[in-house]
Amino acid sequence: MKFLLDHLSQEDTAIHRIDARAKLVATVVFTICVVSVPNQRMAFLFFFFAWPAGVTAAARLPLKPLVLRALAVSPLIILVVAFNPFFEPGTVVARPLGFEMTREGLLVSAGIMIKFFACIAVMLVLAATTPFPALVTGLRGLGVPSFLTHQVSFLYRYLFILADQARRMKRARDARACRRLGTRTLFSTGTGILGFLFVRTLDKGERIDLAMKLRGFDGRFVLLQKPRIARSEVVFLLFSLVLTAACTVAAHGGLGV
Amino acid sequence: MSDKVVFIKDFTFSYHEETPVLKGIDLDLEAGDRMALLGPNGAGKSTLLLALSGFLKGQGRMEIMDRPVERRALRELRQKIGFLFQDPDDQLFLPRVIDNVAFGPLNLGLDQHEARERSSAALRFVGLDGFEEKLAHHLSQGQKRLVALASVISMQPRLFLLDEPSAFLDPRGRTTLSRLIGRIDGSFIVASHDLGFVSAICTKAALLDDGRVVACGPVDDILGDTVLLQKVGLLAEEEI
Repeated sequence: MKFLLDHLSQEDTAIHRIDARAKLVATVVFTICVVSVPNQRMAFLFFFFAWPAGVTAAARLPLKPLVLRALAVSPLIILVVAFNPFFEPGTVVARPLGFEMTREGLLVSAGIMIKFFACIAVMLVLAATTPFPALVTGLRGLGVPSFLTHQVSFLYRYLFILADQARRMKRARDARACRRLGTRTLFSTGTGILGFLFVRTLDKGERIDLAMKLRGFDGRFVLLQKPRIARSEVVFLLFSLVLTAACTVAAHGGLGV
Repeated sequence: MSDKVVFIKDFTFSYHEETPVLKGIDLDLEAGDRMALLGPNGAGKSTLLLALSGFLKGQGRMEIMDRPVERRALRELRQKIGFLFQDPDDQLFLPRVIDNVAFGPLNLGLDQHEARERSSAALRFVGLDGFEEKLAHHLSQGQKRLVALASVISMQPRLFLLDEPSAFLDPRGRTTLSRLIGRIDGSFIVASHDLGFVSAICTKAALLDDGRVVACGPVDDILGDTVLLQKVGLLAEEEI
């Protein structure tokens, strides 16, 4: 079983070859800078899209599937910002169903949405240009505790196995369903599949524990390390930071705009 | 010091008191021996392998290379034991192939360079040169089995415990695996009910049924006793 981001991250371009540590630092700095921009100056937020757009082009990533993935996670943020126009005090611009909608509330909602998409864009670009193991190694290289990075590694490794198992069980159910299944049957078999997957996860966890102990694991995680950062990584990081800093200064009015 | 790599005398183990899984097991394995542990499902083969690895504590004597299998000796013993799991996905718990193979050597205390060298050599040995950076979930079942074997070989153990190594493999995969195992130095206990596979790699066999050793001897003698194999359920009547 292959996932799109996992598949894209296996490509071989100059961007893909850049060490994950450089990309991680650039992504974190970018996110903090985007979040720091006041909603009133949201027009400047669009400048920030230059970085993910540039990296997407340089890494030859397909735009449409990435946009679709960004939209797929947007309902959550839409739910969050939907109420701002009605609760933010300010100039009333409309009264749908008798509720007052303010201009300031609409601006706040729009600002949050743009920030959200800018952050999601940069995260997607990071995930699509960096193989997951490299990301985890990068996190470890940046000082994230190894017990955390290992949990993430296990999650990634076994996500595919569980997804595959769930797919096989769903097929087995569908193969024996001679007619269209009703909602109640779908729900009851679905919960059964979930319960079985949970039990399998526990079982798998026990066997992984045995496998680790058998290879000398004593509670301390030791893994192969990545080589030192090269010049290409430094150039990439400097370029990213300068671009992000320029956008941030502009958005905060530092250039007198 | 004796030549015995494994010495088991009157070993009994039960998960629940009323139903013992292993009942008075007696087994010897000498250096270089390759013993098949045969038996139907539920005979206690995997349980015996887990007990040998120190995960299950039973009654009776169990020694590996003259050291009793007990809590305080486990760290030392596990450096000498290589355990191949039935399901390679249990053994390959990290995303990258090289990290899985190097996990054991790094935990043995080898430095980064040595662990990488040893892991690459193990991958070369199993014919997966260049697979270091591949992701475990992108491998076929046969390739996963070979990486799991490489992860055991990279620890350079003296005793190999293989739990159903030919499970999930196609005929070509089984042949590849049996050839590789034939080239490895060390002593082996191979738990299986794949009679063709064990006849290709083992010299001795012990037949387990209902937690007891019902026969032990040269593999050809055990596999030649079709009446006994049929009695324990390893051969169907129409196969004789």
